[in-house]
Amino acid sequence: MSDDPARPAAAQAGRLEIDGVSKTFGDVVALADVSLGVGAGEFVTILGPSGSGKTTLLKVIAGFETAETGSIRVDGSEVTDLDPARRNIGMVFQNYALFPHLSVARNVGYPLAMRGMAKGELARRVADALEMVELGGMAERLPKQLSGGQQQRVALARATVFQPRLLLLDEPFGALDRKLRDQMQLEVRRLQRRLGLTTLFITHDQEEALIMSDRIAVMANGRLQQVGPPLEIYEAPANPFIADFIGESNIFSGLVEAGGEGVLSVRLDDGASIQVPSRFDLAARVGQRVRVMVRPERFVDLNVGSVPAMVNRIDGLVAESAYVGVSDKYRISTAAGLQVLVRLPSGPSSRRYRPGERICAGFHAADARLIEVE
Amino acid sequence: MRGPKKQRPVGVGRILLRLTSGVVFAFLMLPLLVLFPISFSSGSYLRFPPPGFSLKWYARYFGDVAWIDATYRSLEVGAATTALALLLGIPLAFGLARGRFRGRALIENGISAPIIVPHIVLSIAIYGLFSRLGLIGEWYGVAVAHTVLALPFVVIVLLAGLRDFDVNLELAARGLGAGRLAAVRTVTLPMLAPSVYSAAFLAFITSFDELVVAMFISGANMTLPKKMFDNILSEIEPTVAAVSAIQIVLISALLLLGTRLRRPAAAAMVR
Amino acid sequence: MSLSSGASRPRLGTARKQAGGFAFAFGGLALTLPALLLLLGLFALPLGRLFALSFAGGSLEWYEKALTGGLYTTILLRTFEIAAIVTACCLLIGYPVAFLLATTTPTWRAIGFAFVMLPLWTSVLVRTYAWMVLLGRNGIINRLLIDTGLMDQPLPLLNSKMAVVLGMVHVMLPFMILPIYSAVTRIDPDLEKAARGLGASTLRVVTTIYLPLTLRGIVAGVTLVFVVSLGFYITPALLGGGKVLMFAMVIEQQVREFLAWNFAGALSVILLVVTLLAFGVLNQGVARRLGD
Repeated sequence: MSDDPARPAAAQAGRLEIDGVSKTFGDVVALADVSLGVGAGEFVTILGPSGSGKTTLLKVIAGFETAETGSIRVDGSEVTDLDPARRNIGMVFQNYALFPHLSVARNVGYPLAMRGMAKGELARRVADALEMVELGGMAERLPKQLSGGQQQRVALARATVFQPRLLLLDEPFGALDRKLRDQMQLEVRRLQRRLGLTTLFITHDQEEALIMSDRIAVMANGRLQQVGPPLEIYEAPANPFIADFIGESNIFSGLVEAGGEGVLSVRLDDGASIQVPSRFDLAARVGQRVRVMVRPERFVDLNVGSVPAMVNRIDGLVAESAYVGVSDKYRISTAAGLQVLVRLPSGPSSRRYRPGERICAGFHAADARLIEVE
Repeated sequence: MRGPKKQRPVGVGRILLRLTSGVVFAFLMLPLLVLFPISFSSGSYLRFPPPGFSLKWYARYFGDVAWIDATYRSLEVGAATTALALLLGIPLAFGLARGRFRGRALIENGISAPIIVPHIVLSIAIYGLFSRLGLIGEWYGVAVAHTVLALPFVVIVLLAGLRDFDVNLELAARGLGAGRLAAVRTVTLPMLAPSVYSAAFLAFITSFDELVVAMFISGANMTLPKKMFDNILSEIEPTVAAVSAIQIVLISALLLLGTRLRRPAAAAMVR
Repeated sequence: MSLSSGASRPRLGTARKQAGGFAFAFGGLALTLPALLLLLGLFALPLGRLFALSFAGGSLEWYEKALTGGLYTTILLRTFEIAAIVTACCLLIGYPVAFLLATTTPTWRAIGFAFVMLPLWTSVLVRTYAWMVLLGRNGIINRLLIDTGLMDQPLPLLNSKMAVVLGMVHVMLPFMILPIYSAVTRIDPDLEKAARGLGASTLRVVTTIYLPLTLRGIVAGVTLVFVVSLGFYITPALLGGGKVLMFAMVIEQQVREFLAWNFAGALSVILLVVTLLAFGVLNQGVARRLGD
């Protein structure tokens, strides 16, 4: 791999701007006023459940669907109505869409042939691209003679060999088993960094999104819900949908009792009172109903002697318990009937609770997140 | 080496099933096989067992201008029908599979009408039209009429192929820089090739075997089935058996050759 | 998808019609046009004209002639009867074959399919001729019967309803086997194991699992065989020897021998209506009951 096929750096920056794009199918709103900017070389994941409109967004960007309103620009130039063949965007389809009747080399060479590249140059570029994805010896095979992971790499090579301005990945790991998927995730990210390719990645797998992305854009019902780095999406979800969709969460509702120095005091429906950080983007006044999220793994066992007393605490009986390796998972029922999911670190020294036992778990105010004001 | 496999005992039901099927297979094949000894008979009428071996009926077929003319005409009509049916049927199938226009479902359902309408009815209808147009006895008239009969089969086979085809492949080609026609030419059509071959085979056979329409509109310029029909009615001699044997051998060869191509056709007919 | 939907309220950016979608909708229709023109010219119009002839002068006299007097209604009934017998025979012997093909090993399936497909691709005329050779007065079967001393007189096998039915079953059988075969292959083989595990006998497995789940294939096969049988011409003409008249033969006779176009038109309309009715009843009626 001494002969690196990397293009002259920043020849094509690949800055993507999506501005107010909408699309409906009959009565179904697939995209509602979607706006998103992706910086050059950035890896952005569109994360959403199936039917959220994420694939439609990708198709609109690729040119396979037409936006009804709004515009799409790459490096400042309008591509909204451009023929897909002329957009210079590489795409990896969910099932790779490798041409089954063409060899690996002819698959990878396809975009170059369509651009009228001379044979010698084409062969050299194809060889480079296959070398890059470590499939140098597979050039003459047919796609069906390759494993799932190898097919994936061919798809990647084909989508990048013509130096596209943008790379689109539509749930490319869905068909792979877990181990291969973990490996391919790292490989794709490595390749993307090396080529400096602006990449839009689509998945419904939140874990995958958290691992791979520079930024995540969460999508639901055709709208972008929140855009931000993985840490922010996980720690500070903007609304109940995101809190629920990403990771495990407890969502409590209650009334604001008092507001103070960046902290709200909320009385939960079961009577307990907890402290929650206030949000500058989500004003909550005394007397309003609010919803608060706490991640199960942020709880600590208050029965263990060395833990200082906490203001935010849940008392109840263990309704269910499960050992899941890294932690013990409990469902706790409070006296007022509130159900709380709690994960406590497992280990030889930690205490294990059985169903029916009394448990007392607490969490820091900073670990609670205000997610909705009614 | 395979490991020891637990053999499931073959039940009485299964044996009965095999016996019944064996009898049915014999019923299906026997009439075809019977033609061969007859065609090699040295006797001058249909006698079984044949009194002796001879090739005289084959010689008569190949030596008779009327037979060869009819064969040639049938090949010509069949080829023209095939070309015409593909020329019209491929765009039609694409339009039906991909288009989103009003009346699409109606056209798709209506396309099998020539299969359902009794051929005799269609034949006299076309006969009426052609005699006013002076097209009786013209080989291309027969080809055009046969195209009406072949078109439904062509469209059904191609539609099945197109519906099995993953549209993402065409989209992928477009995204990789292929124009709309280039994508169809380089990706869709090559992948549809088996369906196209099956459709062509079906169209050709439909025309080559067709008798009822040809009986009315081929006039004095007979097609092979018409010549065979007249021969069966007028003479009791085994030339037809020789012609039939040749046809059966050719069809078997084509089927063996195209085991791969046959599958989509069968699948479409199953639909 | 209507034209106006895209042009509704423009929001941010530019509003535009679904240009791509519209172009393709139009293109799709355009692709179908040449074939539709052919079908219009050589299918719809000639049939229409034939039907118009049957009502020539605004009178129904041709229909009156066809439907009274008993001759043509008798032939119509016989046509129905023969089609029904052929359909029943095909179903009865086709189902076991389809079932075997769907459940046997790949090798046997390939061989069995060859036995079904080779006759299917051989022309109807050739096959009918073969039956004449088999059933004729000096045909193979009579020869065998006499030579082995089982009979001393040749049996009148040819020129009978039985001969017609035999020939027609031979022609139509593959069209019954194929749809049933595909219905059987779609059944999850675990269903049979499950039923057996739950205590079902072979008979119960067939009646409670296979028959209901292959009903759609049966309906498809029965519809095709019955509808096509109604319009048969070649086989009854050759194997019936003029003694077994089917409706298509009457129509041919009227045109060829009497040039009675109006009457032939009326008979054609009757055959077509009956055929379409049969098709509709078998196909739509049963499909609806199956919850399609």
